Amino acid sequence: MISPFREKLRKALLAFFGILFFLFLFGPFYWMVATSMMTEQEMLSVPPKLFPSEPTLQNYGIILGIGDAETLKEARNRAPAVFEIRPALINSMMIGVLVAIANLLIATPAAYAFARLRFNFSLSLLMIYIATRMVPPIMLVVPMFLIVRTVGLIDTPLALIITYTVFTVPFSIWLLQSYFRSMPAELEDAALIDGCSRWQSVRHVLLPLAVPGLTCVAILSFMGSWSEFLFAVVFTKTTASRTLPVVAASFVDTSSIQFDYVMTAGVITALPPFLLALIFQRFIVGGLSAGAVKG
Amino acid sequence: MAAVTIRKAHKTYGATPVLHGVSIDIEDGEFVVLVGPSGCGKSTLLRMIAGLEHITTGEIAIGDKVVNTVPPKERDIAMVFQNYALYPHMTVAQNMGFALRMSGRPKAEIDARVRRAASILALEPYLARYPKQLSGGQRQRVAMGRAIVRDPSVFLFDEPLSNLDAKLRVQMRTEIKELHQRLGTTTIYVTHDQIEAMTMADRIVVMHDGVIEQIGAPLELYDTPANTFVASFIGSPAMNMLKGTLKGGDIPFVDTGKAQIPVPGAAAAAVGRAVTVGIRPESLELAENGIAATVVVVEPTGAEILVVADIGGGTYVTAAFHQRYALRPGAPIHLAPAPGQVHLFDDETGIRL
Ligand SMILES: Nc1ncnc2c1ncn2[C@@H]1O[C@H](COP(=O)(O)OP(=O)(O)O)[C@@H](O)[C@H]1O
Ligand SMILES: [Mg+2]
Repeated sequence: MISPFREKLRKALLAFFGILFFLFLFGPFYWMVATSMMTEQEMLSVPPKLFPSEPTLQNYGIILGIGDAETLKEARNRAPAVFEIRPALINSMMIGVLVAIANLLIATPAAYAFARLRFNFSLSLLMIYIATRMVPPIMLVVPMFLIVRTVGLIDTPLALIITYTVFTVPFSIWLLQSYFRSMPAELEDAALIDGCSRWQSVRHVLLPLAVPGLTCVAILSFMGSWSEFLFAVVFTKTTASRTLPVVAASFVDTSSIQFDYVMTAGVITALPPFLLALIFQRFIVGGLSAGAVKG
Repeated sequence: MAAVTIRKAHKTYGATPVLHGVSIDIEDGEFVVLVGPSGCGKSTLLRMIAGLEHITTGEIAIGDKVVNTVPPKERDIAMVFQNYALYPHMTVAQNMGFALRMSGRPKAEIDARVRRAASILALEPYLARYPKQLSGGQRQRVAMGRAIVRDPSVFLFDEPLSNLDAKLRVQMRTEIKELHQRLGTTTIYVTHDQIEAMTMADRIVVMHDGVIEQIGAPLELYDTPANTFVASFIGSPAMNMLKGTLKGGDIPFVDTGKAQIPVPGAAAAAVGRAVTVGIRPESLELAENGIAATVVVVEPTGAEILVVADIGGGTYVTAAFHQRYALRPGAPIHLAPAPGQVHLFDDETGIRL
């Protein structure tokens, strides 16, 4: 029997560390959002301000090219790169979506084969796929750069789409195969008997049931490519292919740091994954845990 | 409706043989139960009939058409799975109508047929529900509904009642049998439960380790089991099996070393052989003189009392009495088999003598 006092103490300590941990995680994020809504003077004031006194979306406007000529001109003087954010946003979106689609198209049939067919070394093969993900990306960046340069894809979105697809597909296959495995094979048998061809049984029974797993794979591969920095910074040069993380980082140079723009770009970079996770968290957790239990 | 013929069907998975040449002739409209311990290949055989498993060698014909290479959807069969395999993302009505939808029937016809099947199975109130909103028994019914909606030539059932509780199982047993009497569709039913087999089948196929041990009507198997496997598999509680030697005389008898069991009418040619005597529990009666035994356990079931008795050296036999004898553990009794109710098997081959 725990005494009431010790019970209270336990709760208080738990609450204390809970709050501490929350601040630790949430603090930087808050600071980023708050700074992105401040003017330059306010941001640089001493002592630093915790809240923007007059929250403004001006920085967001500038990035999207909205605002009066005066403001835009001033922004151009401070950091010309600010106008690269919009094309970078479009690049990042396009790359992320195409990587997600490529993952679905490649990983779904592969995972189905792994889940349903018995063939020699299927588990070993799956292990090798996953093992490729254990190689630190930094080891691959130079050889990959040479390949990309040789085939003439430097500074094209295609280079990043291919690279990210290669890196995300193994995990997607792993995740989907364990998802498919968790669905009774009798469902497809029943569909075959009910008059489906193999393809129809996949289309009418397997895929509708796999929607949570497919969503999970799409989102995870989108997020994986969305925030990737190393390969993006090496493979890209101009607005033709630069992605958001690269452009956001470019505000930090040796002579000056435009914190407000960095923070604004940061918020824009963080927003899509955040929203996706928020909307689809049920699918993501479900998809991952199906993998965890059955994999 | 159609007859089903299985001729010397073999199945191997990789190098592992599972079925070793199975032949069964199932007549049109017959209710045949494949029964056997789990792992003996019943499901494999059923799935071969359904077209879900490749036939390694041999031939399966439905009607007069050999279907070895015919895909499941063209075999005109319906199957009920042990886990029901209801489509979780479809309502009961959609589940039941799925096959008709796939065959491109008009919507009005699908609705009408689903409704008719639902009324046969008392499923009308649940048509709009999803499988997860149903109880186990209701799901089982939907699985049957999905099969009967199509009016196929053959029904295949793979242990459809295993996931139900005992009471519901007995009830569904009756319902399935009734349904068969009503529709008259050829039915192949797989179970590991010999009581299900006995109560439902027109004919039972007893399987063991990928071979057929015996095919026959329920009472035929019960009264004249072809070998020791069938003898001990069919009937509950199981038949008592005692080893001994057949001795001649006026009335031939089996000497088990502890008891002498008269076997009137045993073939004289078998005298001197090592044999196994089988006596069903209900064939044993209390007697003045017979096999001396000591009562070990008394199990009243209500309809009868089961008495497990030690006939010496730790060999137990079970007797079932309809009369409510007052027997206590430790009591000495004498048991005698009813005349003519003794089964004799060759000890080595297990085959009935
Ligand atoms: N896909 C398969 N691959 C390999 N062996 C299998 C496969 N399916 C079944 N078996 C084996 O075949 C034997 C018979 O299985 P099954 O037909 O399911 O038995 P039952 O239904 O009588 O319990 C079992 O020993 C089982 O391990
Ligand atoms: Mg089985």
